[in-house]
Amino acid sequence: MLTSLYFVPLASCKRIFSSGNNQVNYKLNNSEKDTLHAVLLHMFPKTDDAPGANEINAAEHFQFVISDKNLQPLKRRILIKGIVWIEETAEELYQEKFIELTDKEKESVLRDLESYRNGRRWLSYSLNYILEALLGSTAYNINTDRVGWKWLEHIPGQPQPGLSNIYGTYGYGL
Amino acid sequence: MVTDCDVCIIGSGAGAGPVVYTLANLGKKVIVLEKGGWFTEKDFYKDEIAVCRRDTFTPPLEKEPHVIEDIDSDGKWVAESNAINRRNFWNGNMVGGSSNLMSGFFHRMKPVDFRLKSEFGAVEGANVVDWPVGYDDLERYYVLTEALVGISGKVVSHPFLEPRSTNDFPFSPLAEHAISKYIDKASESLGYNIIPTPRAIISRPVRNRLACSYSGYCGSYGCSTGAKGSSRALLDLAVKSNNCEIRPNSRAYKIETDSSGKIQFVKYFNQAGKTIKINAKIYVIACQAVETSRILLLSSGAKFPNGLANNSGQVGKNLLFSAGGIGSGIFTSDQFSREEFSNLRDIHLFVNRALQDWYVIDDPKLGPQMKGGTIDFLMAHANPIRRAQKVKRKEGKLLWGRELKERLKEEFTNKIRLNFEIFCDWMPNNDCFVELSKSIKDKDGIPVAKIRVGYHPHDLIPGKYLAEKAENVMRKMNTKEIRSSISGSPPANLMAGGCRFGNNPEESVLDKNCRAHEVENLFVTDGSFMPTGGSVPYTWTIYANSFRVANVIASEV
Ligand SMILES: Cc1cc2nc3c(=O)[nH]c(=O)nc-3n(C[C@H](O)[C@H](O)[C@H](O)COP(=O)(O)OP(=O)(O)OC[C@H]3O[C@@H](n4cnc5c(N)ncnc54)[C@H](O)[C@@H]3O)c2cc1C
Ligand code: SF4
Repeated sequence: MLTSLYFVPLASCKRIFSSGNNQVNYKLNNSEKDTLHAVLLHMFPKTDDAPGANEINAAEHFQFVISDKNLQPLKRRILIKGIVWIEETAEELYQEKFIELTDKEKESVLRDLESYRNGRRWLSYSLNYILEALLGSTAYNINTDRVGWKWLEHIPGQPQPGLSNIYGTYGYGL
Repeated sequence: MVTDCDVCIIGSGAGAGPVVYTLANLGKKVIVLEKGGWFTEKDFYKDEIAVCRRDTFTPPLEKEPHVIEDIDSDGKWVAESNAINRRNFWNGNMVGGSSNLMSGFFHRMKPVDFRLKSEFGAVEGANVVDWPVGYDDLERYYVLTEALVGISGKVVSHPFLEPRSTNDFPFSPLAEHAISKYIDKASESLGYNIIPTPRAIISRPVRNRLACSYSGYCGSYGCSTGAKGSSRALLDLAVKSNNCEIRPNSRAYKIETDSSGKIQFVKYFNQAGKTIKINAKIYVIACQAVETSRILLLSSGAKFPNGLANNSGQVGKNLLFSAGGIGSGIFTSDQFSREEFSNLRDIHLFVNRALQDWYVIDDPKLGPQMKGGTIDFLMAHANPIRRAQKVKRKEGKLLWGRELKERLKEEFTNKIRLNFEIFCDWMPNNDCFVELSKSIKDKDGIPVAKIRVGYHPHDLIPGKYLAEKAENVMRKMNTKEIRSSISGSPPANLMAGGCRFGNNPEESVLDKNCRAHEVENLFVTDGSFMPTGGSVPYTWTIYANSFRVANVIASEV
């Protein structure tokens, strides 16, 4: 059992500091990025007719989300810490890094994570951000070439924002 | 005394717009303090992430929370900051207020709504009263709202059609969704009188406003054509008169009175956080129900130890929402030809259908006559991310991988979801009120509003009755997976009350002209004045009443 899953320590966010605009500087390190990419791809794989996590820039969107200075602090801590939990679970179950696991093993790791409250939260939040990356406005550098809308035959409302009008550039998002 | 203006108005939403417009056009000098930013048509985008999933038009709850007090499973009242429980009671903080974001389903209240107590008697545990004014006092202002805010629709005769002094709406109905004819057919075969829903959306251009371009998403978003009848439609005209100054990012936090109890000035924080004072001959508060009560409660003074205009102890009491609930059902592609299904998948046009046959319920099964309400039909909101999120769970487990993708494809390309919304009276009661939190303060150290959100069990009776009728229509159309949910959970976007008007100063905050009984130079013109809210979404009534009160104020400055 992973005792760390019960806690979401503040220490997990020690790399966060505010940068003065609406972003906080928290950059995932390369190993965290690799894990995140692999997890998101497992959760949203590319299929014949549809984009996968890479085509919609889901991992970059995740980075955008955890850098939002208005993100609830607890949510940020869970989002960041979840990547560590996944590696800990992979290590505990298979003594391997998550990216080295087979699809079946990856599935067991994530289902194991789902059995913990905070693990379930991480997975649920991450699914939300995958769906944002699939169906949000392309100005966020997600849903590339409207690939999500095209796949689901969705016609977006008009007008759509440009890069200079996205969340964080006006209103309370500033 | 030299004053900064004739009238200072705090808040700029639906309750403020008509006052600002009327006074400015009569040559009165008006200053509007609005806590949010000033956005215009060119600033509004259909960006689900910014508008619906992040705090762009409402403050972050960590900085400006409310405390929500609700009953737990053991029947105990539990108060918790919504920075924790995320039950957001802010609706839209910007010039024009939440009216920028509304869907604009507009129904007038009916004569019976103004006499709830005398028509249906008292309800034990509910503080039902008659209004001090009647439908006839508001009728011409409903008409004025149709013309100036802009309401489109078509009058058709039905048993509960309210008396009208004009034959029809000044704007013809909006283009209709293909589903509407199915609703008509089903309702007619059931013997129901289906009616077109009036909308605060204009169908032809007027002044600087374009007609609706059927741009999609609509409700919850600002409108980039100006077709939506937000309060800005009136504020823009007021500004053009050169008699109105709007100060955005100006958050009023204290109203100071002198020893006689007259207001001397209002203090507000400007964008830089600096306190500015402003004085006027008359002050109008229109911050939306919860915040209006809050600022009065914050504004104690020598003559008002318990908050401005609150020696009666009535400020914050009898807060109202809209009772009722929602329901839905789906159609699948196999029920229609390919072409028809493709038409039905449209997300741009409006269903605009309502039933008011049971505005008063006369059914022996429910006992004596009782107040019923309104059913509105509408397509499920087109927001795709929210729609996708709804399929991410199955049997309590999260879905991902191929299974999630298959469900997404099915949801988006094979299903159409039709919703209905039910509007009934929210019985005013002793467990629905606003007070100041004793422990939680906002980012500037000012006590936040604590909102107790108790409902009266009676509210569920007409709600469930109407849900059955709406479900009958759905069944008749062969809709699948029909569901409805009638509960006492308050919809935060429709709030009123807290400063009810009445003739008795001991039982009401405002007189029949919405002037505070206890403060000569104070009026309240948002929905706070309402002692009962009718069985309709009530923003049209907020607009109409604000026009009515504007004339009273104009006669005094
Ligand atoms: C998504 C949505 C859909 C809706 N759909 C419908 C509908 O279909 N039909 C309908 O009838 N109604 C609808 N409504 C409700 C409608 O918008 C409100 O009833 C109406 O706007 C209320 O008017 P108001 O003046 O009380 O408040 P608002 O319009 O919200 O205006 C209050 C203003 O006061 C400002 N303010 C608050 N505190 C301060 C302060 N201390 N200092 C300065 N300014 C302050 C706020 O920022 C805000 O701009 C909807 C609302 C929402 C959010
Ligand atoms: S659908 Fe019409 S009213 Fe609604 S936002 Fe678009 S243009 Fe405005």
